[in-house]
Amino acid sequence: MIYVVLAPFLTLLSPIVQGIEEIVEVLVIVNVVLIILSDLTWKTVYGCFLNAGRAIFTIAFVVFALGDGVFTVSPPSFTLTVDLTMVYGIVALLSLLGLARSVLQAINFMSERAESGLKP
Amino acid sequence: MNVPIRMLGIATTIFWIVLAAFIASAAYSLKDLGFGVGDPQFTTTPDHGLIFTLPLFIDNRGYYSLKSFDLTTVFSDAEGVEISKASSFLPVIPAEQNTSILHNVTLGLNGIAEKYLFEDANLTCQVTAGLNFAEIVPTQLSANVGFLWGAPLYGFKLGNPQLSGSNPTYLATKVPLSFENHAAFDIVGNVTVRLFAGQDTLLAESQSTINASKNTRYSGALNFSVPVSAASAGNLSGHFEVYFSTTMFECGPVVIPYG
Repeated sequence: MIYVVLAPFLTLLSPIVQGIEEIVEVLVIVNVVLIILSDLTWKTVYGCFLNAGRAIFTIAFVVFALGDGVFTVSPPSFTLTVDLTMVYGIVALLSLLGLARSVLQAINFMSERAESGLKP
Repeated sequence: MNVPIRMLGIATTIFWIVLAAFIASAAYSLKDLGFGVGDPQFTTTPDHGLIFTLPLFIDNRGYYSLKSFDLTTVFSDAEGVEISKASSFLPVIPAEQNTSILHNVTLGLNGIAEKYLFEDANLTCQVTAGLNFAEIVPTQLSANVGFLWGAPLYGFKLGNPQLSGSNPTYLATKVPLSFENHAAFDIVGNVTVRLFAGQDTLLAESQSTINASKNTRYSGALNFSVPVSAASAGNLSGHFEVYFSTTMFECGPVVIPYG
């Protein structure tokens, strides 16, 4: 839903940050697939793994796909440099928060299973 | 443990929504950001400097203030030699406001190469503008702008001395003077010319006021009183030493041979 809201604004950003629409599309598609899979495997340990995987994917995507976050556009007459490092830093931190939540969920799930004598 | 996990989930979701709202509003603010440049103006300083003033208008109708706006211009000649460097800094451009800045560039005409007073040139202006957009997105724009420098004394010429009258001791001599003011400013000042015969025999000195509006041709004449004795010695060649003293610059001696 957030992507639907953000899509028109990404079009505005696309002249500054080339390929941002494609980058965000890949991020959204992978996230949506992982969300659906984690919902399907809800109340199993796989759901926790998929949530953790989603957070790790987001962090890795930010680090590897977007590099240092400094984008430079050079049309013939001028050069525009936009430093999005801070925004990417916030995205990475929020993903780390999501990862921490998933790890806690997994620990909680395992402990509940152990307490009830069930195998995970 | 379920409650802390749930709270962590809620907090994460809220942060994501805040981040998404921030990105959306920041991107939306971009379209309400306008920049404009006014007509440049030229003024002078008491020490014969030329101040080039460029008015800049920033219309920030977005949701966020722009911080640390820094504009730097570096003027250099065709060989890359720096002529002038100037910076303007504005700590904050508030949201929903129009802000104007006067970017002043001081061109010390006394310091720059003499040739730019007499020859037009292609100069380069390297413009770098940086600002902190929406508080956390540093942005920088740089461009090289080439422009034609109009020489204030383009094609400065002194003609050969011409006899215009005489008395028993002195010969009245006239020397025509002309140039084109290609500069973007008017020239008001004095020109002093020393007339030499041969290598170093000073025959006479003359001063004249010059007043040339921008983009006009100036023609005038300098009157000398040459001693008859020196003129009769048959000195028909030599050189002029020219000194300029204007509101914009001082220059000299410029040596121009004649004869």
